[in-house]
Amino acid sequence: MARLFLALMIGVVGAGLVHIAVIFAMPDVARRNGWSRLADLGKPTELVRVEALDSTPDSVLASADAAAGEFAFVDPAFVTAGCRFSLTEGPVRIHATQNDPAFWSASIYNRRGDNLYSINDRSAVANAFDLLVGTHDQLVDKSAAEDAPETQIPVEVEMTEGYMTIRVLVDEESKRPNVDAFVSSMKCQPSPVDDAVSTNSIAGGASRQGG
Amino acid sequence: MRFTVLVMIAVGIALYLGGWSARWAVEHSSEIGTVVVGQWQATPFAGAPDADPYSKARLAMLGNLTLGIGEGIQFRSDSDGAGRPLRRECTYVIEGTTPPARIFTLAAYLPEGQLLRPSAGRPGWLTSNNLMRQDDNSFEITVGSRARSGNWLATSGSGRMTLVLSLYDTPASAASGASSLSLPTVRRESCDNG
Repeated sequence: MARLFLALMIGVVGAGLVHIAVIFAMPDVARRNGWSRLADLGKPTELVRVEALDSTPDSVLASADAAAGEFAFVDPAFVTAGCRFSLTEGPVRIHATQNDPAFWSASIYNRRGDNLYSINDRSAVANAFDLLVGTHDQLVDKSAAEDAPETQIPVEVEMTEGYMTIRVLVDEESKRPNVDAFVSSMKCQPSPVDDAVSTNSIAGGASRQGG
Repeated sequence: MRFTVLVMIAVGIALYLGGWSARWAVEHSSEIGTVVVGQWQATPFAGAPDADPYSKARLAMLGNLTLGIGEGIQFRSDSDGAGRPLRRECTYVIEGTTPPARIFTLAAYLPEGQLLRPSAGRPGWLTSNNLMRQDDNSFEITVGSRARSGNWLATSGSGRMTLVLSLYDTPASAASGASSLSLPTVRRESCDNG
């Protein structure tokens, strides 16, 4: 009897350990986290739009079990977009070639969904959306190799994979075309340090000439 | 043999109870890290690197796109001032003021997070830039399926709903004082079927 009691006690203590292990492992093993939902929408470094989940009376039951790439509680007053990127090849430049006077707010997350950096139109330089995301070493190499545009903001993060989201306000429907153009002009480009770029372009040029 | 059975009992209890309690905790721990202001709840730390492990696990399971701490804060409400659940067949009046924010938006969702999109031409969401306000900067918004003068947020259908008030670029999101904020009240005015 005493041994059974001991076994039960060990079981309960073990349950505590399992509980803690599961909770801590969850962000890494969860299949439906923000990263994988974005992955359903598009390839890495591709900018994808995040639409609000719709409800029509008929589809309420059908959509209760959220399908691929769908995010809950997306603000309909905003155009929301995001992209995934990897820093293994070098820093990533996230920028929009157009400017838009609308309110926007962007955030950078690591793969687990931890928010590492946020910026909005007021804190940006001259309202331009231009971020260079990289680790400390990558940013140092990059700034040594070439001059960054004045509006570019270096964002130092310690991670290998992550994602960016941006929300642009559409407070009047007449502003939607401009906001759409602004969001469409955004790119998440890997921008490796200079020598890698030149080698690639030479190789690309050579093969194009050869073909 | 006896020893093996005892070990199996211990391991079985550990795995089953541990797994079940972790699941239960993630599903029911919504009050951990939650700030409650009147009828409104927010999780200002969701997505923060130093959030507690339960919030992180919860976020990983929900897979929402969170607002960064510097971006803003999202308050949700699923009950009115008297504690009754919000229903789409009822009409509600939301009045008061919000903490200072550059933009705030109000929209109605199903409890699972699908946007309630009313039929064409009806306002399914409101932004602070387009609100009509009183002299003292407070506002009054009517939420319901019938058109109203003033600020009107259209709903449709029947069943439960969740109102979401999102404040963007606001000092309130620096989580220090989130619980001492003043947020608008939600008052039930009438219901279609009594």
